[in-house]
Amino acid sequence: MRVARSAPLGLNIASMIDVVFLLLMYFMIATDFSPAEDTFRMDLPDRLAGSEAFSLQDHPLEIEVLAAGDRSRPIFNIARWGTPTGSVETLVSQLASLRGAEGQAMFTSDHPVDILVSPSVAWASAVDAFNAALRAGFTHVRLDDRSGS
Amino acid sequence: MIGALLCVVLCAVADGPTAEAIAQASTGDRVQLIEAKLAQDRQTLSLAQDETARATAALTLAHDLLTLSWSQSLAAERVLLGTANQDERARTGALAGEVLDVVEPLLLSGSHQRALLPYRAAALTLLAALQDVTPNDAQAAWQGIDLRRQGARMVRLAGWSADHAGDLRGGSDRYTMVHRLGVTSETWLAQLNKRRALGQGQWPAAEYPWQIMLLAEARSASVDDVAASEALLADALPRLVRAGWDADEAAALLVDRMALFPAHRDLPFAGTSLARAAHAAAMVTRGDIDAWHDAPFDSAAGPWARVAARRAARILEARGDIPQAMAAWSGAGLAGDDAAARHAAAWLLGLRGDTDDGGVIGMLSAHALPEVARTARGVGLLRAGQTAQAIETWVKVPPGTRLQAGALAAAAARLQLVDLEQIASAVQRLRGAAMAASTDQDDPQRAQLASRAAGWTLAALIDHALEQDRVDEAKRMLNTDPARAYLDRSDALRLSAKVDLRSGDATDAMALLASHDLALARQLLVARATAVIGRRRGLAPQPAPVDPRGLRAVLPLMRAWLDLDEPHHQLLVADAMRLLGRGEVRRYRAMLQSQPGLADAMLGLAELLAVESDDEQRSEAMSLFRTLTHASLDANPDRWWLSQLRMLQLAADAGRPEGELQARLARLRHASPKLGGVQWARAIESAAQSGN
Repeated sequence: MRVARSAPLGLNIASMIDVVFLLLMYFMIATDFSPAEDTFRMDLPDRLAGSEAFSLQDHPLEIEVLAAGDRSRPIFNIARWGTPTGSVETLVSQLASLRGAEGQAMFTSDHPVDILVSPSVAWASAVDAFNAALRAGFTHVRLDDRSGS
Repeated sequence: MIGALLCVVLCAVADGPTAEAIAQASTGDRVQLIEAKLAQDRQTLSLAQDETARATAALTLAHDLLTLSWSQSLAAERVLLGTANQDERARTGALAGEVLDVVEPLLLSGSHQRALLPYRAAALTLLAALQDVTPNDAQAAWQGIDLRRQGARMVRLAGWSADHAGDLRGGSDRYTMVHRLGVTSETWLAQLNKRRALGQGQWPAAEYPWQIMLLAEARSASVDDVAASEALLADALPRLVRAGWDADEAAALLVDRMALFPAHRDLPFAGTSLARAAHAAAMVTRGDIDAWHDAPFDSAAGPWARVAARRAARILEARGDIPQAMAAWSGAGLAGDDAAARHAAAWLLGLRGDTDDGGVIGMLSAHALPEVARTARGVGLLRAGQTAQAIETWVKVPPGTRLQAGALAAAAARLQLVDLEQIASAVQRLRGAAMAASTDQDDPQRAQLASRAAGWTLAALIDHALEQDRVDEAKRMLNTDPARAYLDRSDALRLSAKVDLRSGDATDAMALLASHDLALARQLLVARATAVIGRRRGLAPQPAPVDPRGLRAVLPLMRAWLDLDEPHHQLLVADAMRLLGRGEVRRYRAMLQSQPGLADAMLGLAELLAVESDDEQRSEAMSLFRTLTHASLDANPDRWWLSQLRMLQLAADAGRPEGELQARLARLRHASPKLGGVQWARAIESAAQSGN
């Protein structure tokens, strides 16, 4: 009695190559080289030290990151203290002038800075604002979970 | 498919968002769409090749800047009302600046595009509100624009066609907006000039709601932003009531305003005389000032007829058309509005005492208000130097009427239409004439009326002297003036008590008055205590020393007579005790429990806690001062600066770093370069330098 021999087992890689190339093309097209965040300070719960209750830094400096019609063009605005700008460099210079020289500063380096990000803004723009605050010399910078207006 | 999608997107980007798309967009997307529309307008302007194209593009951009940017917030209105914060002022300044940048190059190059002129004038009006240009410059910018003739005609046509079509948008928008801006700005600038002439910083209480309503109307007509207009009007209601309006009447007025916004909304009482009156009121708002004559003046239509006439009167008054304004005021008076009738009389009193071109006295005389007419005629004669005729007219004013010399003088002064000193001298002359007539043996009836008039005028003069802080003079008049014998008993008691309260010797006269009229005694006591304590509540770096003798004399009366369930009375007692060094924390806590956020109670409590040695209590004081600084600086500048000073002092005492204190000082300087004036600046700078 003849036993039929089964065909040798093998992997048909032609379709897999198609898929791999498709994935490769997808990632090449869709990738975005986002800037990395600078130091991200962890605001851990802290016991309120005695003199903290008398702090005069009751209003954080708020940087709004807004979308101006086109998601790739953010607008940065230092609420109450600056003028809206689309340039990160201008934002840094506005923040630096608020930091000012010693004795003339409107905000000390440890003054809290909140980054308020509009939901429609690209993440990279939020990181740009964060880094701008650090470059201007502020040390207590955080991304606020409220959405910018 | 992708190509089609791209095409749609690109087309949408190329055409820019439409006004409808912006109006219907969600709040979050609206900002972006507005930015996109403005970006497109700017690009169109930069690419325009010839003058016509440039002018058209500039017109579109200026219009969009004012309507679309304006619709994002109430910043411009707050600037006009003088209540804007730093951010709102900055935004409005940037807006006005860009409009000028767009419009002025074309106007300066000799363009004949007169349509651009109102936008320039609107921008200058905003800059005048920011004090970047003078109100006169802004007013001059409006003078070249014949809004009244062209604008009113266009707006009337636009209004009718909009009513017919049920839609205020479209081609009529621009004319409507221009006209509204014109009327608003003219009114506002006229008021601003008047305030400056009188050396006032804030809107008078009676004017403020009108300013809000004019702005709300302008806004609703120009950007069709119902929600923002209603928000503005909601703020107007309590102010109207505080300014002395009947609450129902104020609410009716606001309902009328809100009914105007969607122009096609049917009035619930169409077909009645009330509806005709309401329609007349609406037409006045839309620029047809004379429409107030069409309002039926029967009792059913009364409230709306009053609104129509009042509205017309305000606009005419602002335009300087006094005879017509007086006629409109007296029209409102005939529709049952006594305050408006008094206003008409006050115009006569203050501005046109010797002439009556509008026939107001005749109208008032012929209808329901003869005593107003007689009073006004008397004062008119007096101001014209015809004292004898004036006294003849005056002594016929029926006894007991409230429209006597003092009341009318005070009303005119309150309306800021007359110089108080001028009125006082007029009343003084009247009193002399009345005294002379009071001894007329030949005509006893006339003598009796004249002596009553002499008593009224003396009362008015004493009240006036007290208002001017001339207590000794008031005392002298009360004790030695020959006319004191003619003072009405209740006036005599009231004035004695007032003079005694002001001299710090309160008990006897007050007790006498209380036995005669407790409510009046209580009212005087509250007024006096509010003045004394309010001035010395501590709203100064070094508060004026309290006169312990006067305050100690008043305190038992306050505790005995005031209604201590009333928060204002509770606060007076608590503050009086605090200023005497017997402050009680529990009193303030109880007040704050029943009325959280009562600023004066918060301040009193914070002041008590701030001097405690316990850190917990001092940190509570810090928190209270911090809350008080969250209010607007303009709401109560002294309270705001005091809270800032105390925060700096507490922070310095707690050992906060000097850099932090200096940074706070720099921020305060940014908010107000003068740091609230010399006295505050010195104390605040000294507190900021006392850190570690």
